[in-house]
Amino acid sequence: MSQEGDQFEVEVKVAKMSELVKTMIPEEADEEEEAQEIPLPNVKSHVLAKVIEFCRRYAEEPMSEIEKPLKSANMHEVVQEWYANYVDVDQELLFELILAANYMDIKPLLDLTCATVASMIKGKTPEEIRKTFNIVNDFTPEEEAQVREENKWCEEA
Amino acid sequence: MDLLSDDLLYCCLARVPFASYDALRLVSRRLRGACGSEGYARERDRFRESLVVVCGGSDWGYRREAWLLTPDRTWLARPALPFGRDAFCLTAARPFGDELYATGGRLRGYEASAAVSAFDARAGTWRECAPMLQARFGHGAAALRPKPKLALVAVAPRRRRPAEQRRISVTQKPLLVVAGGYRDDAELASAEALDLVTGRWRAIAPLPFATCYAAAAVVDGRFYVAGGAGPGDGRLQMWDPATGEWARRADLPQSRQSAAAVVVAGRLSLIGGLLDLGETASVIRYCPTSDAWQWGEDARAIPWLPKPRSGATAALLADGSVLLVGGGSPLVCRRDGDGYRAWEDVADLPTGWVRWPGAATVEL
Repeated sequence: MSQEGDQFEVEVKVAKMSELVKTMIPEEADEEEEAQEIPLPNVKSHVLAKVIEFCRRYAEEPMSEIEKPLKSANMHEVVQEWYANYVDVDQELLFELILAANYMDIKPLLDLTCATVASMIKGKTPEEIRKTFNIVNDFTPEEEAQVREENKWCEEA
Repeated sequence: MDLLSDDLLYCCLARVPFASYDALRLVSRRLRGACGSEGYARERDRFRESLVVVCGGSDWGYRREAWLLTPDRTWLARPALPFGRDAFCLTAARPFGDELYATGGRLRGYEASAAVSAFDARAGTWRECAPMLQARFGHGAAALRPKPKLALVAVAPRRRRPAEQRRISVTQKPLLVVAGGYRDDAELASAEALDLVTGRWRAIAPLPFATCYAAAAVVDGRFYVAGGAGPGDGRLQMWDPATGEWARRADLPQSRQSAAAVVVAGRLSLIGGLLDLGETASVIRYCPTSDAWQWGEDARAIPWLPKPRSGATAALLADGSVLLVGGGSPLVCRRDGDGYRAWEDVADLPTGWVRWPGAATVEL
C-alpha cells in the first residue's frame, strides 16, 4: 500500500526483492496464501507502480551487472535495452526512484538509478552539470577565485 | 538532486568515473563538500578505478607535466611536478594506493637531485618530503610492505606461561627502498630506505656492485636490482629486509640497462632496454623460486615489443595489463585470461613522448 493508500497486488516472489518487504512477510508465506497488506507510507503511488514494474521485469530477466568503471554516458551501452528505457524518465521521478529503492532496500534498482545519475554527469563540464540538474552556482566570488586557482593547471593544459 | 540525502548523493557520485571528479568539485558547494567527504571516500571504495600517473621525462628539455591515464585510455592533465626531471623513480607507497613518491632524478645540466616529492593522486597535490641522503638519478626504487602476521594473534592465553604471551612481535615497517644510480660521473653503490611511517631516510647496506640505469622491483618481499651500467652490469642483486643484507643472484643472460621492470605472476620481467649492441625489443623474466632467467616463448608471459626501445617505464594495472611509457609512443599489453595479448598503441601524451618519465598505478 502506497503513501496515498492505493493498493498494488504483487506476487510474493516479486515483493521479496525488497529487503524491507521481505522482513514483513512471514517465512512460510507462499503464493497460495491469502494476500497480505504491506504499508509503504514513504512511497507515492506512481513511484511504487514504477518500482513494481522493475521488480517484475527483474524476476523474468535479471539486469546485467553494471560494469565498473561506468563505461558510457549512454545507459543503452551499460544495461539491457529494457532497463535503459526504464530509467529514461524525468529527473524528479528518477530521484524518487532512488529514494524508494533505498527505503525499500532493492539493491539492483538502487544500482541502476544511481548509475543513471552518474551517467548524466560523466564527461560534462561543471556548467553542463549545473544545467542538467538545475544546480545553482552558490560559490561566493572569493570561493570561486580559490576554486579557479586550484584548477589552473587543469585549464592550462 | 536536492531530494537526495547526503548518503544517496555519495551513492551516485561514487559511480561517476574519476575523470569527472575535477568538474564535480566546481559545480556547487554541496558537490564540492561531498567530493571531499569521508562518506564519499567510503562509498567510492567499491568503484575505484585503476589509473596510471605519468610525469616528468625528457625530450628537448626536462619536463614537469603530469598526466593521468583513464580506463578509457585518455590523458587527463594533473598538477605538474615542482620541477622538471628525468631518470627518476615514481613509486606507489602501497600497491594500488593513491600516494606516490618521486625520488631523485636528473635536472638541467646533468645534475643529480636528492629531492623527494610526494603526490596525492586523489587531491592532485605535490608535497616536498625529506630529501634522500644521496642525490642520484638512474637509480632503482620500490616499496616494501610487511606481510601481515597471523599466527601470533590467534593463540588462546594459557596461565602457565604469562611472560611468553606478552612478548611483542617486531613488525617490519613499510619502506621505500632506493639503490644505485649516478652522480658526478660515477655509478653509485649507496642505498637508502624511507620509513613511510616516520618519513625519515636511513642508509642501508650499499650494493655489492655499483650500478645505474638498472631495473628494480620488489618480488615476494625482496628488493631486486637487475643489470644496469657499471660494476653491476649483467648482475642481479637482491636485498632482504629481514636481514638488511644484499645477496647476489643469477646473472642476467647478457648486459642490459635502461629496461622497464614489472612483476607479473611472481616473476620479474625486464622489458626492452639497451644491450651491448643497441636497443632491444626482447623481454626476459627472472623466477625467484628457481633463481633462473627465462627468455623463451611463453604464452603466459609478456610478449616482445613491436620495436626495440629503452628509457621506458612500465606500470602494472589492476587487471594485470601492463602500460609502457617513455622512449616512444605508449603501449599497453592487455591481460587476457592467463596470458597476454600483443602490445597495442595508446594515444600519445598530449606533450608528445619523452624518455625516462616516471609512471605508477593508482586506484582512485
